[in-house]
Amino acid sequence: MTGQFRVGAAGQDGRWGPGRGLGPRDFTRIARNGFGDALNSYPHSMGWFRDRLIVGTTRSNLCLFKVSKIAKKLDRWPVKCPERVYDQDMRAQIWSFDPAAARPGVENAGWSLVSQAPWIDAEGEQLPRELGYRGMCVFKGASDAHDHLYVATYTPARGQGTRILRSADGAQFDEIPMPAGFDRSIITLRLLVPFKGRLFTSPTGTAGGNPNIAGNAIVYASSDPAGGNWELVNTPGFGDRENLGVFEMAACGDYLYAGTGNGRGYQIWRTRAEGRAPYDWERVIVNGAWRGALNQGVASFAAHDGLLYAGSGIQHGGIDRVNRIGPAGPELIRIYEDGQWDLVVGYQRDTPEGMKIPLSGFAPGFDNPFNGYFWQMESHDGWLYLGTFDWSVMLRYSERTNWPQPFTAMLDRYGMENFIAMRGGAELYRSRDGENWLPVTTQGFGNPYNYGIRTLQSTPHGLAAGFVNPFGPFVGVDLEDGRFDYVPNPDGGLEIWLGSQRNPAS
Amino acid sequence: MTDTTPPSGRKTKTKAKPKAKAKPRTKTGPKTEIKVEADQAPGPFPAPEPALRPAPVPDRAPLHADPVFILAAPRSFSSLVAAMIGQHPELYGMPELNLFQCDLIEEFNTGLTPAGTKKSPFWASMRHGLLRAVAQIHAGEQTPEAIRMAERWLKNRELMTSGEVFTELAEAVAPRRIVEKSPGVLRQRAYLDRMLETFPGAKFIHLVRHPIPQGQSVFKTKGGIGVLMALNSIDLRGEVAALEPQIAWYNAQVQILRFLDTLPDEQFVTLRGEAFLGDLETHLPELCRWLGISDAPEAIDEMRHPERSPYSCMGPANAPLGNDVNFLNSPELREDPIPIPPLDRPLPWRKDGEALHPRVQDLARALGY
Repeated sequence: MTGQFRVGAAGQDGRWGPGRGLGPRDFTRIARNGFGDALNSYPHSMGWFRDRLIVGTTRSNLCLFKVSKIAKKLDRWPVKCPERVYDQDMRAQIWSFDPAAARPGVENAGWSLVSQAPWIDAEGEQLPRELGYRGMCVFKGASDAHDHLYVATYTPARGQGTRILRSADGAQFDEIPMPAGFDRSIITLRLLVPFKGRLFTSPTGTAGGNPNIAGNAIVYASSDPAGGNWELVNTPGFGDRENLGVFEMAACGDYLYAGTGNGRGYQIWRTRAEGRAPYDWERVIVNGAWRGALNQGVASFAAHDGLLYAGSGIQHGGIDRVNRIGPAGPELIRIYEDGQWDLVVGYQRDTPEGMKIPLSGFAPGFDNPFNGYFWQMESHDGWLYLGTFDWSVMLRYSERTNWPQPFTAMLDRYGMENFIAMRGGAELYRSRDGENWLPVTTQGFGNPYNYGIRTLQSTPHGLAAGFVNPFGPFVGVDLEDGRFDYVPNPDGGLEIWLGSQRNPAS
Repeated sequence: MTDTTPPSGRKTKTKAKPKAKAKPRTKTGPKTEIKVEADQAPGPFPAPEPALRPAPVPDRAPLHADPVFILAAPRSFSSLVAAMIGQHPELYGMPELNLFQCDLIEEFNTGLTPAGTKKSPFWASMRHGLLRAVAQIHAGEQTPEAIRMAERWLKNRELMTSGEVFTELAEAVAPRRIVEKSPGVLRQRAYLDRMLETFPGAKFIHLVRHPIPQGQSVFKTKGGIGVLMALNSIDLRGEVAALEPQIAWYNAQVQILRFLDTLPDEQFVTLRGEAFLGDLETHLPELCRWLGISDAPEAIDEMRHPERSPYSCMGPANAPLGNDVNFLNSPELREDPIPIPPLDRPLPWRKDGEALHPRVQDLARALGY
């Protein structure tokens, strides 16, 4: 016998190489129709806490959008909305899923509503304290006896301003002290990021039609958020007034990264978060990785195999009408520890940092111009997953006057409904090495109303994917008699899918 | 391997019987033992090309182990043997990559030579093996979507050389060593030189099959006639041109032997397929020792299961092949005795009762038949 018996890295099936990753048949829908209440539109936050999958919802987003001050060009509204949005129950909800209680074939089995926003009195008007829960993380602060679940809120413009909630058991949620800069005008935050024993956050949006623009890129941290003790840990705007907010943060290696929204293209900053605040921050990406305004903001971050991946987006679904940016598909870059970066998905370009060629071979949006954001990423079981927001279904409701003629001709030839059936629905892609990507679904797992993947959560039971679906309970459609009317939508309301190769259908 | 059986002079005694214990052979005799004189090579048996010098050694230390290449004429058990060897836990059996038949990957993608001519009428399907390999290595699966991903991978590498891409694959599967065979590399000496230039330390297995059953197999197999025509394996001596598989067999062996003639003895081995497959108990451990890999029973057992390779089946609709279709449909090892006919018997595919050309018989004898 010669040598030692050496065996290469074995995949899940015992063969060499990577496990195959999750494919469409590995995913099972574990929640639909907003857990039976189609006003649950966004699974806006998700966490794995005390052996349960916790999902925080935002309610009836398209009706909120209708009454918001955000510029829009829809000549037919996609869903039936009440005259006054708060005439329907807009109180945000938190749902808990017990995998052991799931029953194959029984819809929404294993889910329970564990918390609901209370009503508040706002100058004589009854409003929900929260419309949504936009961020979530598990963290143990200095005064926490054990891990707690922290939740970031999305509140009415006339409410009390955004809050951070804390729960010891995943059922009872209490407010904690907020950083000093969070006044009533700050209505929402999406970032709660643990790093080196501290919890980091940043305001995300303000009242007045700016749910994604805080107006200032500021970062706070606390090692004991239950007791407050928040510190401002960066120079506001990182010294650049055009950084209008920190939209995404993530830890990777020895650094905490912060991605901004910026009209000239996002910036990415990072810090080791050492020493006294404000910390030393280093700018690693500028001008939207030299694409400019079309990489308006960092929509998603994920650490995978020691590299940080950053997906871009243009606010309001990939078309920012106020700032005249877009439509354009998002790009994906990745950053090395030494600050070098690769273009993974996007347009080839020569930059001051050298020629950048998309390693994946994909143009922006994975070659799909209807992908408005790369909205969420998660590393799970050796693979990086990326979920998009795909606005194809909104074509049905859009003003057509300014469409390019070839596009109008294409749609007329193909048929709007055929197009939506073929192209509608968010896309989920996966990659083992971050360079080579292939789709898991390009059709929202068969539901064109599942138009975005806002949450992805790795769990011991598989990868959970939260699909945004605000097209319920009544959706606008073109009827056979030529009228446009609202009909009950059996496919409306958020959906949660769980991907696992233990799935019997795998 | 230490067996140093000379390549010629012993086989006439046993030509009618399969050899139960015929060992793999390294060529250690004078490098001119296989004599094919230029002035004796008329018609279908062309004069051999002059040997080239060994390729230079690259500067940087490689991040991969040197591959094992199997050189064989079509229908010479190469699919089966390559898949078997590739199942060793320290090795990685590839489908037919057909990379070294190209300089740049652009050539691989378009199927056109630098002069703009078609590389092969079968080129579209000759790409399937590499597509399947890239899909398997980078996506962990061979699905239509993974093949499309592999197409993007190749598109991104159009300006890379085939050697660079092969090296990238070798690094991707390291510490395993690639085992690969692409019969198409025998079509031009430059292709073989490209392999050696890329991997100066590669090991080569020259796999041989008796020319008569090999010829019968070519006729029998799906696509075999097309292969003979593509290889110009046509006997023009009579009034009517006839497909003649011994021409392709002979040309392939000469091409291989001329190439191996440039290598040190320890870098290659010649295996008679019938003997190798006829006594795996002996020859698999021997081969492992020659390759410097474990000959542990569990490794040997794995090598007896070529069907376990992810490439030992039909691929997805957009890349179904990557190997001989007959093997893909029936990849299991069948350890039945393989009969060896006399070299001078009338050829079953000829109506004129002719036997193998004397030069083919001589070469076959020199190779151990």
